[in-house]
Amino acid sequence: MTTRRRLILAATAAMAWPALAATRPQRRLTICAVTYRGRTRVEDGFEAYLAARRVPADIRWHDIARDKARLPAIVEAIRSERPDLVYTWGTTVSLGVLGPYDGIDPARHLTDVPAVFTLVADPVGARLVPSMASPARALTGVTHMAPLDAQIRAMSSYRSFERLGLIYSPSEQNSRLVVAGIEALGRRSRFEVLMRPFPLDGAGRPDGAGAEHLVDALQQGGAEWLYLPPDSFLTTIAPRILARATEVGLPTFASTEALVRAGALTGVVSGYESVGQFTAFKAEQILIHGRSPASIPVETLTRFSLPVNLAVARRLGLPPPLAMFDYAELIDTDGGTR
Amino acid sequence: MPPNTDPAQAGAGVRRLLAVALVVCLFGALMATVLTRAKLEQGLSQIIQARVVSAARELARSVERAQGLGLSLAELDTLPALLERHRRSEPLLDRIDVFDEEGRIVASSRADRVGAQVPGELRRVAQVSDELPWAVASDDGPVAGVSLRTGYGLVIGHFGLHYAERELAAAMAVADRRLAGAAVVCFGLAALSSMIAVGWLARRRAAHGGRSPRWPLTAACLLPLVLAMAVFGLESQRAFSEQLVPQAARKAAALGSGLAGLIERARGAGFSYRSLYGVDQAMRELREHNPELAFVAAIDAEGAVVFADGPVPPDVARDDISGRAVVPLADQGQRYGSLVFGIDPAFVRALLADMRLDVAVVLLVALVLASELVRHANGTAPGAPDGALMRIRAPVFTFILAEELTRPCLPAYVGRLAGSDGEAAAPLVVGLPIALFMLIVAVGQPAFGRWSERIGRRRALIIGASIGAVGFAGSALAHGLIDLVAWRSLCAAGYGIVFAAGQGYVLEQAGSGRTRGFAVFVGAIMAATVCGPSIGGILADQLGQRATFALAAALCLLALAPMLALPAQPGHPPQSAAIGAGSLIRLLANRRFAVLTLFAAIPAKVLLIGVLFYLVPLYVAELGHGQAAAGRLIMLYGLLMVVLVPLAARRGETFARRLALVTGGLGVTGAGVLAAAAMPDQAGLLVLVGLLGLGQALAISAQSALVGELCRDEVAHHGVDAVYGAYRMLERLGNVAGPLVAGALLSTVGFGGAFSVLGATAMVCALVSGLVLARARVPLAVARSAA
Repeated sequence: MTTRRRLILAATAAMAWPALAATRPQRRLTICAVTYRGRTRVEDGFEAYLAARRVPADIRWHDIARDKARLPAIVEAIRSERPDLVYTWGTTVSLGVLGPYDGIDPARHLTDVPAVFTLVADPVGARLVPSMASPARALTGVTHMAPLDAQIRAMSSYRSFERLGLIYSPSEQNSRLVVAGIEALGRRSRFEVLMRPFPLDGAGRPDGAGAEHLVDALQQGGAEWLYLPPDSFLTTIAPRILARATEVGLPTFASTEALVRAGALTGVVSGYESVGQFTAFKAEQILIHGRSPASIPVETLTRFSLPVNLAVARRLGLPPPLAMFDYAELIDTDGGTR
Repeated sequence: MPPNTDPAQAGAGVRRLLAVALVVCLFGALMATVLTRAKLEQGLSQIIQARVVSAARELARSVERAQGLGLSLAELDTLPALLERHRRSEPLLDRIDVFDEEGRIVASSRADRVGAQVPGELRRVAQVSDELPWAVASDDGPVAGVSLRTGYGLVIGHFGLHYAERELAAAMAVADRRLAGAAVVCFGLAALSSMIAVGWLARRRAAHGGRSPRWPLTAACLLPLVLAMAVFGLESQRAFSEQLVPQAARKAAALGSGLAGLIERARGAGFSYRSLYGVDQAMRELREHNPELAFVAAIDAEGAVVFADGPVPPDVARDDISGRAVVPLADQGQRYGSLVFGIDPAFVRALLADMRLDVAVVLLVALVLASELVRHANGTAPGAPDGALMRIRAPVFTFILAEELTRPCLPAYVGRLAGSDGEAAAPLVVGLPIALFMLIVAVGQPAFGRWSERIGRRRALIIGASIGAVGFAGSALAHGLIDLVAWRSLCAAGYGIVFAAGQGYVLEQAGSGRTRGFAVFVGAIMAATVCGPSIGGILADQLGQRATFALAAALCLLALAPMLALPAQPGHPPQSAAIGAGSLIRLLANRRFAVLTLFAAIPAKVLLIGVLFYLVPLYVAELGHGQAAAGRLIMLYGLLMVVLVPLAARRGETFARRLALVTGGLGVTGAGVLAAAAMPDQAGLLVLVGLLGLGQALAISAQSALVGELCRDEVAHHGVDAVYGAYRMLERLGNVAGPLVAGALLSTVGFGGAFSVLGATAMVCALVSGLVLARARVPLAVARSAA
């Protein structure tokens, strides 16, 4: 349902600007796309936008199937295909194909093809670019994280709170950055942050065996919300954590769409199709309008969606505030999206 | 002088005073009625607009939902039906257009509109609207709308809801009858009682030989007017309630259907009516945005209050009370409750209270007008002392009033005419016609003076007023910048001629009593400065800028009547010599004179014209206030001058004091301008105009006196007139530079920057002139003691 809606958005966007036709290249263009776990709705949005805008491009798909070891072969393949643009999905793939800006290895990374990356939560933290405003190399892209303060505002407009619970993996740099950001916001907006990191095993990997206990401890400590950062490990065991939180009456707030799908009460997330469309918009700037990728800032969406899992809300006895019915994306696992 | 006992003359004098009473009352009645009517119309159209905006919001929601259900903008054949359905749900709507970023209509509830182009104004407002609904009065009638955008900010489509003001017209027709009736009764009675009182006072005065004070006559003109305005105010409040309350209830019903829709959605999501959360908060937000709502309540089928915001009365469940809107809440035909919206009758009072500043201004102007007319009627009565001199006052007042009327709206008018496609022109272009006006007056003044001497002052006055009338009439009808500039040049020529001829007339009539003659002349100009801008601002807001210019033309023609009544005198060859470039250069060679002129006199004029007549009207509009607010500020300046100039003139007895007044005045002016930069709101503007008026008032007399002191040798050689003529000419060049400098600053550094630069420059100039001229004091003092 949502997929179709997003596709329609792309199509209507095209309807709205038919006159924007710029200099069309005479030949067909080639885009090499590298994904992490097969095709997602991001790619749907990307393709739909290019089609609606009649960008004459053929996309050649490469997928690493969650296996980093496949990256070198794909990079070699792309070199021989000599595409006009490279598209990379997620932090792992983007770093693997394009390299960090301060550690490019011409042997392993593509350096002579303009690139757009997408769905990278923190491009500066991941060292893909030195700054969001100017990438300073032949790539640009789209990040999908909503600003933290917007997330906190949405949370408190659902239900105000004074104590916020957090579970995260201390081994993940991205999570640590987000946790620090939340703590800073807490100092400014005067709410307390209760943190429960996953214990690490001997190899330094997070251990999720006692995840339910972490939830219980937060609930008993007086947390009024459980915030779920964009944490890869946490995402893998999210259904268990979310089920437990709902059981003990703790509302949950997701930072990514995947966590919402796993059953969080609500969150501020980017629609994957919109992310894909926006990435295609930047690709169009490069391919059709001849802009240098280095001059195109890395951006996030201007509007995010606020999904609410109605089944969770009913079970918690926490209906969304009335005004939220105006703009929230209502998800009902018993009856589909409303 | 023997007492005036001629009964025929006394009778004529009484008749003239009766006419004065009638004119003052008529003025008050007209202004009060125009203001009240405009306020009602504004209130009504705001309410109607809010209804359409709320319909626009509903439409946006429904389009987004329709997309979720598989209907889409892309499938254009379903969209017109959706648009048509929404159009029919709100009786105000004529049609709904959907247009793209280029303004091309891609879908419409009326098929023949597709492919057409929307007015540029509409496109621009929609483009900058972001997520919020917008409303605009386009060439195509009033339109409200919303814009749908993608998650990364690109426009999917703008929805323009065109609506008719039928309900507004119907409501206004009823209200007009009521207001007209009230006005005729209130102000008719007021006119009658004024005339009775004035007649009685005038006869008594005639019996006492015209020696009793004038103020009881002025008061007799005004008091009935004040009373009539109060009664008319109460009566119009009733008319307002009759029309506004039902409209407000209809608007509340439109808001209510939105709220009911949300409750419906929440219930559909599986939450019971009573368990809903944040309903009171949604109600509170509604009341914050719609202050006419006294309370909002959600009741159940039994009439018990479930959610509420505001003071809910015990009889909330009754649906037969006027001033309430009830929206039923029903699920598949089963009614489970209602939303009740109560309209606060006090909001009508608040709307009228908004007018109190305007009404106060009208009364103040009526006061000045009454005293001016009484003075004219008395001063020019046959046998009155100084009769010939006093006769110049009324025509000069009326003519200058015409120019002053247009001050608060001129910059915006120029901007509108010179701009293209509804967009205002560049600030420097807006300043050009003002600068040109000042240039013609400055350069033409001496020539106009000599010319009027040659052909006779009366003839010159008549020609000047006629040229002015043509200029204002042309300005009212102007199409663009070029012809406006041409018409404004005629206005300037007329202004310069009337000014110079009037001044000459005063000098000739006053003979040795020059000071008194000038007081008459300056008094008329000051009165016009107080009355003109404030009334002009109100008129421009209510009737439009073109109508204000047309009225100015009419005033010029009106001024012709007393001009024709002036004694005809033959012209004679001019006695005063032209100011040559040579005398200007000789004067400027006097270093101290040059410093005084370049660092005090010219900067003061640059600030006055550039800030008060150019920046202030534009800035007031930028802050979102009407031209009436700009007019009030310019009036405040006039009032301060009237009150403060005589006080300051008495202070400047010595060179040191005069210098202190001049530099201090400039410094105060600079501080005022800096204050406006520091406080970007109306309070800042008030401080600005207050200090500007104070600063100019302090400096103005002392500055003239200093010229005489610093240029003793030149005065001895070339005569007072030549020196002062040259000085005034230089000073007026500051008038010319004012709008140009301010315009250049505005276009480069904006309002805040322009105020900062002008204020700081004034401070520096004050410092320089103070330091340089203070050293001139010692030799002068020695010279004086030696003499």
